Amino acid sequence: MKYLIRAIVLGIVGYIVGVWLTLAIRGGSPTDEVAVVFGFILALIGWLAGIGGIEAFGRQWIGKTPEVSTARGWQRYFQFTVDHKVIGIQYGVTLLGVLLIGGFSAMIMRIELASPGMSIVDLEEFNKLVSMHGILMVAVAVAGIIGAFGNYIIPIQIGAADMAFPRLNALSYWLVPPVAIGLLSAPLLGSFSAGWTAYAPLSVGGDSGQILFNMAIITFGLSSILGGLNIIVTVITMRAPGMTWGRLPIFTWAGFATALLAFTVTQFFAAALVLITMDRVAGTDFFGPDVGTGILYEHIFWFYSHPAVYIMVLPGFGVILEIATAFSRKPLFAYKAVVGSLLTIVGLSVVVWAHHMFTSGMADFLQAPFMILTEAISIPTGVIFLSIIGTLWQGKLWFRTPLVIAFGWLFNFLIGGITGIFLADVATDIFLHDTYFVVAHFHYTIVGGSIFALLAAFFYWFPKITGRMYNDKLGIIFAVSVTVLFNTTFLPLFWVGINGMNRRVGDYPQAYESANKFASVSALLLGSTFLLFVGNIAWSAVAGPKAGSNPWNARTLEWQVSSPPSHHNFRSQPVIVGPPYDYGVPYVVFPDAEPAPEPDESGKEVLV
Amino acid sequence: MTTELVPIDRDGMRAATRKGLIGAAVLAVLTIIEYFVAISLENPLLALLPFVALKGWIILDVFMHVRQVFKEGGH
Amino acid sequence: MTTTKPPSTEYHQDMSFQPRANLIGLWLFIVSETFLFGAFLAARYYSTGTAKPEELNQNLALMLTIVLLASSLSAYMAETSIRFNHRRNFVIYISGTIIMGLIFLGGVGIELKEAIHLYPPGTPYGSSYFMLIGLHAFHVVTGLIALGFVLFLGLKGHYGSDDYWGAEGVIKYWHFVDLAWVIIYPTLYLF
Repeated sequence: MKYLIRAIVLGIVGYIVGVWLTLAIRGGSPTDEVAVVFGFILALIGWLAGIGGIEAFGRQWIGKTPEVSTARGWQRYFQFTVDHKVIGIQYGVTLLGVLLIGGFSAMIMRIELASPGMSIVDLEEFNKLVSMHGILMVAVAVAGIIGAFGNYIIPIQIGAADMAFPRLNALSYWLVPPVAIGLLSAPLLGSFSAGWTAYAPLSVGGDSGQILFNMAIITFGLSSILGGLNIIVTVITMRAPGMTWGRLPIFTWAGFATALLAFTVTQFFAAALVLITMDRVAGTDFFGPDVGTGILYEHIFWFYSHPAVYIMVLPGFGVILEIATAFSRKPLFAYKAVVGSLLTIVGLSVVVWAHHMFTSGMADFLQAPFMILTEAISIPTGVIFLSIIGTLWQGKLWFRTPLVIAFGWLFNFLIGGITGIFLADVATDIFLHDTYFVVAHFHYTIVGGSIFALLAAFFYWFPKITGRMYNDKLGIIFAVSVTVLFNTTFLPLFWVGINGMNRRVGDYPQAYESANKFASVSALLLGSTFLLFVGNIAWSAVAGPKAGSNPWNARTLEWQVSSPPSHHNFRSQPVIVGPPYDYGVPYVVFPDAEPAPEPDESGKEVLV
Repeated sequence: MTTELVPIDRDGMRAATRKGLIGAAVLAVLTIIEYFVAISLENPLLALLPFVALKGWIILDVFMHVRQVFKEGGH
Repeated sequence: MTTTKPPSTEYHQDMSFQPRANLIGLWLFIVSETFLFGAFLAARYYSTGTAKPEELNQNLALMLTIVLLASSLSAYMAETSIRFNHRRNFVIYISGTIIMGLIFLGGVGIELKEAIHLYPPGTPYGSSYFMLIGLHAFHVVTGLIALGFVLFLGLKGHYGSDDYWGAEGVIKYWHFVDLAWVIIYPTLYLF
């Protein structure tokens, strides 16, 4: 706790110093945007120095040996701990909190939208609510699976003791709390109302909360760049002997593909927000209405944000594929085609961005190529989808919670994918643009594809991470109800969208009332089912029955070590002698990892 | 300075030094030519691209040793 | 808290992968940075094409290019020196790099001072100009800070032919700053 307190104190001091310096140099008021920018930067530096950056990095710069915490108790979760398992849990818990806050703001929106006219918020507040909900949930979707489970599982799956750069890994986590604080404190400066997309020129004017949004998301970008880089280097250099590229577990492949996107294109979102910040504070004019153009912003922004939806969804593919093969007791269908498809998606996703801009006024000749490239992405995505179905086909399905959620995922993502074709097509997109059809499609792909996979990953790896089993009946009830209620919430939105209800507006004509009411009631029920999820997880983490090292009889490496894994994951260097998914194939040898020790009597971590 | 080291492999060092000097000389010459091409042409974009590519490659290859990355186990 | 056996019995992975991980990690970082510069360059070409004002101080820019190139050569010589265990030259060349980096920064300062009257931010060219120069200058400053630490450690007697990754990494970063200028300079002055 000492480090956390030091970090908070230094963060506050940094903010005050930054603001004070700005005032001393150029005068003005402490809520000026320049002052906030410098305050944020110095607060961030203070925070990182306080949490352990001085010991972990600063000492090395002056020639001393870096020090990192070796604490093993609960306190390690509140300091600069370099163990990838601790960082995975830190990510998971933080983002679960953000998910619940974002969900809560969605509940307020749905209450407002239950009837036409404004009831609990006004139109401006509604926009701010939409923006806040959007960016919080996008952050969860971007970092949820890859931050929590990518960090925890990938090193174990490839037989490594930790990430390649453990200190950098800790740094990329500790950049996240300032992001959450920055976003959630934006209402103090009037919040931001330009949407999570921060479209210019809306975001160039508007309340000063936008500046906190910019700084927070630039920081978040830095975190995801460093995290992605770390995963790539880890997978390239730290694979255990015998872990060839052809034997890499599919979740690791998906994480690798995600990281390839995350560490490159994220710079574009950072660049776009830097330019907006400069437009606001330094007098440049890239996106303003006079000399600049908002279309430039859209190009830069979507060059990141279209690949970003694959950053959200690719790890989801990995999770669902892992679950499909483990719970149908069959080899993964078309492994090589899946890997090829993942990499094809990485390549294609950076050349389709302008399909978000068919109605923006960009040059006409761009429309056809972007439409065709976008529709080409459905081929590798379809291959992955077919691989999941091919794996499940004629398998001995074992209906536990992860598989039930995976089925929900399949259904949602199918709808999300098919409705995407209408938005990729120029003619239909012009008709559907800026309606609730887009909202429904987006939620089917991102909630259906990423958040459902995040939930599936929670239920799949929970026994490994905590060493305890959750209540499977409650889990299945949650899985079924969340799937049904998700669909009853968002299916009506397709209908109102096709009929012309605009998105991002708090009010709507009478004609859409019944569908909206239905969606709102469903949404509130959907939100309340998460109490079931949180309750189940929280109770089981403390008092659930022992899970043993391999409750699912899965074959990937993380299931061959104890639950939770020991400090350096393995007891000796594991050697891999076969592919990971040969379920039911005669005469195969399990990965040659050591037999896992069972947890001791107290159920605490066993260190051997 | 605490401990003075014994320089090793003087020939290797001379070769590496020569490589760097030649690289820098080529870069300097290219920069000058590039400048005069630019001020003498009306629309020099296409004429200058080969210069930029060549200069970039020299920096990557000679100064930054980019080939190390693709040598397995090499460093 | 758990009872543990002494840490010495714990399994530790063979660390021989680390040099290669460092090298690949640095290169990936440079690739990532390239995307950041790419975004700013794209903004410049999108909003103004290759248009540039007449008043540009071409002579100063050419001199700065040469200074930065010389500093890059000096950094290369420093790396070569320490690779062959020649620490005295290493310190001299690193100092040279830092001095030339500071001269470059001073020149940029003069340029910006002229530019703020001739083509202030807010004009189409001025916006791109200030952002690209600013982004590059930011990298120069961070590179100089890092070089400062390398110089400090070199003076204290760190690094040798078997262990100079810290210096090598910073020097590679400095070359990257030069590489970025190779593209930014013609973008703003020549094209």
